[in-house]
Amino acid sequence: MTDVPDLNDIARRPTRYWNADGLSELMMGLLWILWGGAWQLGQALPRGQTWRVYTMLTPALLALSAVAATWATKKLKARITFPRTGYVEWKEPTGGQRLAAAGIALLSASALAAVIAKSRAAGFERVAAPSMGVLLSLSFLVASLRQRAPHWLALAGVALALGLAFGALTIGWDAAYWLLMALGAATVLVGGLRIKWFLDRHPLEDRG
Amino acid sequence: MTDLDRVIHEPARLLLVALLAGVAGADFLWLQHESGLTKGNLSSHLARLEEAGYVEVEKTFKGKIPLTVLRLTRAGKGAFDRYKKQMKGLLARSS
Repeated sequence: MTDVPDLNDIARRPTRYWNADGLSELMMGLLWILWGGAWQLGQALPRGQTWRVYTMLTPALLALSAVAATWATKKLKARITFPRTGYVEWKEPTGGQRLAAAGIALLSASALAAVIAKSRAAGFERVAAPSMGVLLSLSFLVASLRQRAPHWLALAGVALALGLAFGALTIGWDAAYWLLMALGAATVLVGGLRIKWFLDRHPLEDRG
Repeated sequence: MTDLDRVIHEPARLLLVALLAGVAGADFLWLQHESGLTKGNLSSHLARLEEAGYVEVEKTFKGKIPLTVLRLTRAGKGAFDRYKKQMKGLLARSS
């Protein structure tokens, strides 16, 4: 312990710890399967009163599912991760950070809504799956480099390959929904494997 | 170098303070995992930091399980920020 620690690296460790056990991948994958499945179900429903209610309620329920997933992840961490590698209270985001996140979310939602509104004429549904694949792949790539998580590089490759493959099928919006579900399944698989490795590497010790 | 805070300047304690600065709180086990220190070493360094008023210890319960949470105090955060500034200044002057 004579080396001077790298303070920038240490500052990133709490975020890395959030992703150390595979639970976040598992939850993210499940969310994507749910989201893709919910939109796919909406496509399959016959147009009518039920469909209208379904399409009205689905966005709110899906948004709620993201909150529920965060809650569930924290509960699972308390049961699985903390007894093995220690308890951490993550810092709450500051007011400025919350505002910035809300701003980005609002801008993204507005851009997405505008793109979808104009998409029918422009045929956007044909490029939706490859675009999503590229975006998700880039997100995994950046996260992988920032968090030093090489397994996310594999997911970046999977996202890109699936995006291009489903885009080539020319099945309209269904391609984007199937992409979400397939990528979700791959992410759940990675999460499951990482949980197994985490549990093998960190057996529960008697802390008494 | 004489102005540097000797409590924080020790590498193991600097590591502990930097780790605690990144979280709202953490327990002994997490600090041990992240720092690689032995239990005895970690205890003595934490005791030194607590003595300096840089770390506070909160004994609580998570459900029925007792939990000891360690946090950086306001003084600890201030000392860590000052230390980082001083180190940046020293490095800038030497380069």
